[in-house]
Amino acid sequence: MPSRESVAARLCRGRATARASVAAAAIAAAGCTPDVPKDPVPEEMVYDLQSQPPNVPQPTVLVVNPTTRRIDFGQAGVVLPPDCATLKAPSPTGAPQLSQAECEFDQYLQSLDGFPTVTPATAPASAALDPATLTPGTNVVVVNATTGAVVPDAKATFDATSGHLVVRPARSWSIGATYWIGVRGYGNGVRAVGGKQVVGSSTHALLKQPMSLTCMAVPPGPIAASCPAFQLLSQSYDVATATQLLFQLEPVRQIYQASGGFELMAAAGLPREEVAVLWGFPVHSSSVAELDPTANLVPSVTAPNEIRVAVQGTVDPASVKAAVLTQNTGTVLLMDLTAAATDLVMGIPPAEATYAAGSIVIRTAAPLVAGHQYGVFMTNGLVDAKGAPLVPSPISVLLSLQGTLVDPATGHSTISTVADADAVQLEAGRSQLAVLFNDTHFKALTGVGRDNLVYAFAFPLGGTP
Amino acid sequence: MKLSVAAPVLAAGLAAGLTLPSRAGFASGFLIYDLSGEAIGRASAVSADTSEPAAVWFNPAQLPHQEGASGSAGGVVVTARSTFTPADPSAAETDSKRGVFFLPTIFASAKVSDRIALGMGVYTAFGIGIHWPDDWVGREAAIGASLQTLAFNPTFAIKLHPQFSIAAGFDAIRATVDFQNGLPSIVGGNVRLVGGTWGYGGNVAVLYRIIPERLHAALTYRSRAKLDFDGNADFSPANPDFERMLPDQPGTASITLPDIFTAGVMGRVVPNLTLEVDANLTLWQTYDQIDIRFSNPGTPNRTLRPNGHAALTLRAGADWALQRAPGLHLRLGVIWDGSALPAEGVGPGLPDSNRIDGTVGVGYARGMFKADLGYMLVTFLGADARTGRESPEGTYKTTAHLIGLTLAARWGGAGARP
Repeated sequence: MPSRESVAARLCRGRATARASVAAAAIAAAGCTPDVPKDPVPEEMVYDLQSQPPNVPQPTVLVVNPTTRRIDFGQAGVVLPPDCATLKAPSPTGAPQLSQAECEFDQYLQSLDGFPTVTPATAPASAALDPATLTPGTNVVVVNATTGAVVPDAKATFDATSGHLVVRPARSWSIGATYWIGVRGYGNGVRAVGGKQVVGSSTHALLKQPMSLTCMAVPPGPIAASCPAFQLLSQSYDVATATQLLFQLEPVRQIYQASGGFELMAAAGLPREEVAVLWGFPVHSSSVAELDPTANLVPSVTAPNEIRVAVQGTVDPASVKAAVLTQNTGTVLLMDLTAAATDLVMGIPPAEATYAAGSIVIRTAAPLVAGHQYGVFMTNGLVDAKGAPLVPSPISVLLSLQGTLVDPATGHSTISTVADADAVQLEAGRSQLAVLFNDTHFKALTGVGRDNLVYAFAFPLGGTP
Repeated sequence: MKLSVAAPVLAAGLAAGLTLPSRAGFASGFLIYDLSGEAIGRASAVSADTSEPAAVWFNPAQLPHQEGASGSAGGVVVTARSTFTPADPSAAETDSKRGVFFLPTIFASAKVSDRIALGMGVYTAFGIGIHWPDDWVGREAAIGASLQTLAFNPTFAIKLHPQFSIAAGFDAIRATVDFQNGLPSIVGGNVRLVGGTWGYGGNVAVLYRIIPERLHAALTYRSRAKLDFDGNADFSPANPDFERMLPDQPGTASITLPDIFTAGVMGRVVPNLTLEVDANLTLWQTYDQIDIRFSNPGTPNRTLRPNGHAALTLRAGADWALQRAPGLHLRLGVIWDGSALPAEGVGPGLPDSNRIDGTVGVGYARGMFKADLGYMLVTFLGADARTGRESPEGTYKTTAHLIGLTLAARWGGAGARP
């Protein structure tokens, strides 16, 4: 039996049946509500600065302090405590708080003047993206702003677990460079798995505006009622909130405009109107011994008694010295962790360390023992050609954190940028290495500790580590 | 006798339902008070004296004093155009598109006893209809606005005394809205909001025939009626980045039609000249704020603040029955109509202002039949939009013409009044 409304609607369209009730006929005859179409809703590249934490593409230039030129999460309103160990205690207010591990990791990032070279670039999307449309150089454009050149060999994938587009360089980002990544959307760009168009977000649309969002008003305002962005936001918010939001957005827009990111994209064939999302980030300028198993950036065994660790950037060869027990003058330590399990001293085989052809080279006096677990550690005594210390690689930092990487209660990662599965793997290594770092004799014997570590990696010696 | 009532009432419902009229309101706000050819000729100053079945609208307490059963059908053709002159003298004027609307009205009444009468009216008493160019300066305030109503108004009236009668009625009002306005310039494109609903109200009236057929006084009250619209919004943002924020979706909005008080006095100094003055007080405070709510939490709701206030309308009309031409009536009237909106509430969807109207009319009755033709010139005195809140700053000027034609018939009794 049709409902009264549906019968009325059919009457309005002139398709009433003889069974239509008199009441429905009266309703329909009295006045039909006009039909309006219902258009499909496209998917979008998410850019939400208001969520906590902000759900925006990362890494991002927006958290680089313009004064110190270092990463500063205070730019996003996140202030880290000086001692992350205090985060072990529950928040007095019961409010969610950073994990100790995330605090420690963020403190590491804040020590850098750019993001690590192995950081994947990610951008959230409202739906899974069709991998076939994630074409590098066309729909996903990566430009090295320092050189102005398109990065031709970047790889774009979609991580369905996190819901993020993931962009990685073929090997690693270049130190000292700034990268801008643009995603082409709309009719000619990336598509969702179901074939829907992918557009930009409303926030990103404001960041694309060539004119001031506050119409040149400065805090605390007021912003002219005729200001287009104010007119838009004042439909959703009261005057004070709309004003506050625009004063938050305008500096972000200015960063986008000053960076020339849209112009770089246009030069690379991606015009502003087709950019569904754009973001940029600097890479730290310091040399780094790179470590990223997913990119095969791991120590390589190049001879029965030789291990090489690749370094991006310059290295002062004079600073490359193998650790010698109790002397604490070495900067490179090789450990036979299998042997060290029974005798720490026996776990440090005699070795020498040098720098050659872009790698730290470790040679032991005796051949390495197959089947043993080896650990390679380096300290910030390693410096570049200008005397600046190498910076830690992020995985080394994760492996040496004091806080756990997996929440024992939930099984989830305690660091928002580390996936649960990765956190479980890393936590296994971290907990083993923590035995060493927590041993007061270890630092005294080797000179290596959490405070000066720039590289830490353990691997079983089989074929290839 | 009851059957003779039922037939015209049913006919009224079916005929009026064929088309739902649309027009700009031509009493204060969006009230359409002038619903018959005879009344238009007399400036609708008829609450204390009319022989039409349209008394269902003007004052149903007159029905027990009418003889037999009667029915009328007619319509009012309205044409109007508004012009917006921006406050910025360098900017160009904009004319709204000339709207031409047809407003059908049907009334029926019958006495079921010497003292009791029943009536039925199907009419449009409230409406908005205006359309501006798509690219005009005020597009974000309104491109098109249409509010259409159709009231079904059964009425009961009783003569308590040969000189005194009362009446009460019930209003069932079908209403639809169809608004279109431009989205903010950063978004671009348009949004169209459509919806429909039913609202309900009531009315009461008294008539005191102080000196029957010589001096009458009337008082009527018609209640507010809340219209809670359920409808749909069709967003068409030019910037696709706003398509997810502004998906097509259901929405709601409420408009409350105002209370209307009317007082009138008719005097017939000589038998063939009827003079009447009426006053309407329309409580447009009910049209204070309109909250348009969307179902998608990410879509910004919209609030319009016309800030309506009470509006007074004064009417004076005359009906001259020519002795040399029995059945022929000449009519004349003038109206001063106060604006329902303050300057900060004036917008292109309802560019309301004080108005002065002049009316003329002619009617002819022969036997059981009667025909009336009325014309009204509505001159808006200029509505200043000064704050830029609901409209760009500037002045709206509107001129409208109404032509009403009503055909009536009476069965039984003494027939139409000559």
